[in-house]
Amino acid sequence: MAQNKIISMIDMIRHAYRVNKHRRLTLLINYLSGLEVEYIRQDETYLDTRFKQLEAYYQEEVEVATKRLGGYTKDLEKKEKAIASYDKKAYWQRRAYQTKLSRTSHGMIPQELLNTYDQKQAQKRHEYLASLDAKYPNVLLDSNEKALYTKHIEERKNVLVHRQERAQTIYHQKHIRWIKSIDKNKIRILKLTEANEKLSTYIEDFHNEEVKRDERLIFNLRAALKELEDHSDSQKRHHKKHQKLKDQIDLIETTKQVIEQPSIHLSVSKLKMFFGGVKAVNDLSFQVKKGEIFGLIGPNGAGKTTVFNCLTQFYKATAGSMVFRNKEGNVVNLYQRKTHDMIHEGIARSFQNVELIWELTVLDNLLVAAHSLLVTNYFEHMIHSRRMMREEKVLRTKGMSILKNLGIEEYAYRSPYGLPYGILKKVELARTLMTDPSLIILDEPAAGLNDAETQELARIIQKINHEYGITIFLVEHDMGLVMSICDTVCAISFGKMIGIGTPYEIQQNPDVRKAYLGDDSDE
Amino acid sequence: MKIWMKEHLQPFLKKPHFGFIVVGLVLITVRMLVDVLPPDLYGAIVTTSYYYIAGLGFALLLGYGGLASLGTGAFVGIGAFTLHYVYRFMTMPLLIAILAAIVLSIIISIAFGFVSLRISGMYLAIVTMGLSQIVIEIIKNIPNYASGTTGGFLSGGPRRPLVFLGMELSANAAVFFMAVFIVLGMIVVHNLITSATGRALLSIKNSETAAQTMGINLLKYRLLAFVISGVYGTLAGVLSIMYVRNASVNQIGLTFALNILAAVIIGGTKSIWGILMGTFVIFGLDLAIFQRFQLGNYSVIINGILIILVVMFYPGGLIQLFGDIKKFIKKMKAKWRERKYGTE
Repeated sequence: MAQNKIISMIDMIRHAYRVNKHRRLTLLINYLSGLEVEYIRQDETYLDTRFKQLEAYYQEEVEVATKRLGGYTKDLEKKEKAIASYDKKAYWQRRAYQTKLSRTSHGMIPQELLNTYDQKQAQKRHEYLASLDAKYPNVLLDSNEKALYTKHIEERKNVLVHRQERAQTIYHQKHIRWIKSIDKNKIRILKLTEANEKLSTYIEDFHNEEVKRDERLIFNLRAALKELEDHSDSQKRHHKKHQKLKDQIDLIETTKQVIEQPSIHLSVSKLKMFFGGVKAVNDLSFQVKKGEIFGLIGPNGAGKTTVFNCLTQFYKATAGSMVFRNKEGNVVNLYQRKTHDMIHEGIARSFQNVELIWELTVLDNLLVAAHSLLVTNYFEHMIHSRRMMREEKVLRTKGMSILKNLGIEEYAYRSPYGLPYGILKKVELARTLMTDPSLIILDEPAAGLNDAETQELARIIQKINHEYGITIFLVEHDMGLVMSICDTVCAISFGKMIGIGTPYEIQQNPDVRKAYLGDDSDE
Repeated sequence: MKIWMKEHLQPFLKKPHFGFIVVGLVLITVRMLVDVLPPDLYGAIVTTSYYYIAGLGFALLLGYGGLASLGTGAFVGIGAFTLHYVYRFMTMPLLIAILAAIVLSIIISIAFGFVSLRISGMYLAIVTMGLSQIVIEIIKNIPNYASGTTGGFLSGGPRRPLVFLGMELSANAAVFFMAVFIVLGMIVVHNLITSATGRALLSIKNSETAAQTMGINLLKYRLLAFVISGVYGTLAGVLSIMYVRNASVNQIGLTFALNILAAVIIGGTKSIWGILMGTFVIFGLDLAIFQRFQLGNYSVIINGILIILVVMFYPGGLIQLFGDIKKFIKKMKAKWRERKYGTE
């Protein structure tokens, strides 16, 4: 028995390692295929950009010479500069004079004095221009200078041609290198895909084996349960054991159900969460279908947020089973996972009160969310390896595209500090999208928003649901929002389910009315 | 040549890494000018530079990880005493002694990190203080250090002058090591805080729940922060014993940890340059300025007043001062212009 346990534990550890490796390899393959595209793009654009750069350098170098040849002599340039500086000085002098006048005459500016000043200044400027003319007689270029400038241009042109030739040789070297690395990449991708497929078959085998084992197990468990139930006196004594058996049977049955029906995304069965004597959630069962918007409603303190926290493993549920179909299509028991692993399974969540990182910009907040997509480790971050820089660039582009899709790209480089609440909620949504989830859990997305903002949010939630095909599971107080966008609504009160169905059915449900509006006899 | 300058040199000069290298060069220049500079100033600069490394590591812990640890002294002690013990009593080469100190500090900082997982804030400070006290007691109980001091490399017992690659190192030669380690340390910290790791640490500081839902493993990143800060502290200890030539447990107790904390907070917890200033204010100002004006007796009081003033008026640290001065100058210019020329 003990040996079996050890073997099964080793199997579990190996399985976890394989799943992790599978995900890492998938990310790596994505990265490598992205790199290939990058190489091809560089290969196509390198020569163009380089030539443009060289042309710009050439233009900069011959700028003066062409100017001089075009008739814009050194003297003319000096003269224009002198006039500009004189005008600037005159402007400030006039302003100072005006201020002085207004101060001496208590706010009123005597126009006559100002006019005489202006006339005087105009006279002065005229004289100055004449003196400048005398100083810089506008001579033309002599032939000697002209030859010098043309020679300079010729020289530069030769240099440009030389540089272009060199750029081409460099390009050829680079081209060969790129082609080589593309080929290498392709081979590597093939190898990795092969390894990945092997891993995924292993994982599938493990799951199949688990199903088989469960079938055997459930038979034994049922027999044990029946034996317990037959002796009614021992049932009381073995209450805990009885409960445990029931839970195990329930977990296996739920798993089986999810495996058999591919449309189910998340199945919660008989979830219980007790805080000491307080039964926050008691015997709650529901199923979320793939690709739908599922709403969880209930009066204050009904235990909605507790359900969320149980799902994301912030609280370990007292009893009950939560079975989820993850990103790769495998059916997993969420209870065995850790909080920071939920994102790898494909569950992203938002918070009731916005929990952004206030010291970072909006875009950087999205990058934090992309943490589960990183292929680099902290050592590479320490030395800023090339791979990390590329990855950062890719993630930034992805973040910008998500922000654009949600219509908030103008806030990308701003601190979230001081942004309106509606925008912050959208940023949180964008953050959940950044992690490539298959299920998004939204905790009161419309809390603290006004009507227009709520409508906008509803539109965005529907858009995410349609465009990305992501299942959405939300808790909400705003009945208008829930009834307008949800496909299925589940109502709970004091931890117990009181109704599930389409929004219309829930509206007609007498129990729900009672929970929200109180008993009729109370009035 | 011109193109090369435009395409390679200028972007490099604009990079922050260039500034870090300049710090290293300045240190080497200071070493060259040892005969010209007043000895107090020289001592202040060198002291600042080796404690700055410990400050950098601590800033990663406090400013980014949000973990207020008072265990920095323990790591400085580990660096100094391990180097001394391994080099002198086990007669290993210098580089191996440094590596041994780093490995030991990594092991102990992992222990610190595990302790920090469940607790935070004031309680973490108290626990790390206790841990560092344990380390100090252990050092005291090594028979060679029963008095709490090393006594240097040359006094008593088996003498062994500091030799590196066949060259005998003078005390001032340690400055070259400092230059290398400071540049490396600054670059590594800068790289870390501008990458995903720095963002992960910041998110842990802001909200642990949000960090966890985004797939950030708290244990891993806390351990990383502790290990890096521990290694930096150890390097500070190693450099200090290479320069001062002896170490005492009195210098690495709670006072030292509080001094480092003050240095980081005065400078600005999230700024690499700010910490340099903060460290100079705490460890160098006394030697460099107060002693010269015969204010040595009041240096503790002046430092205390300075700390109070900075924390009251510049909660973001001294690095904030520069921005404020710039703003002030701009404002004054506008004011002067209006006075002379009036409004449009």
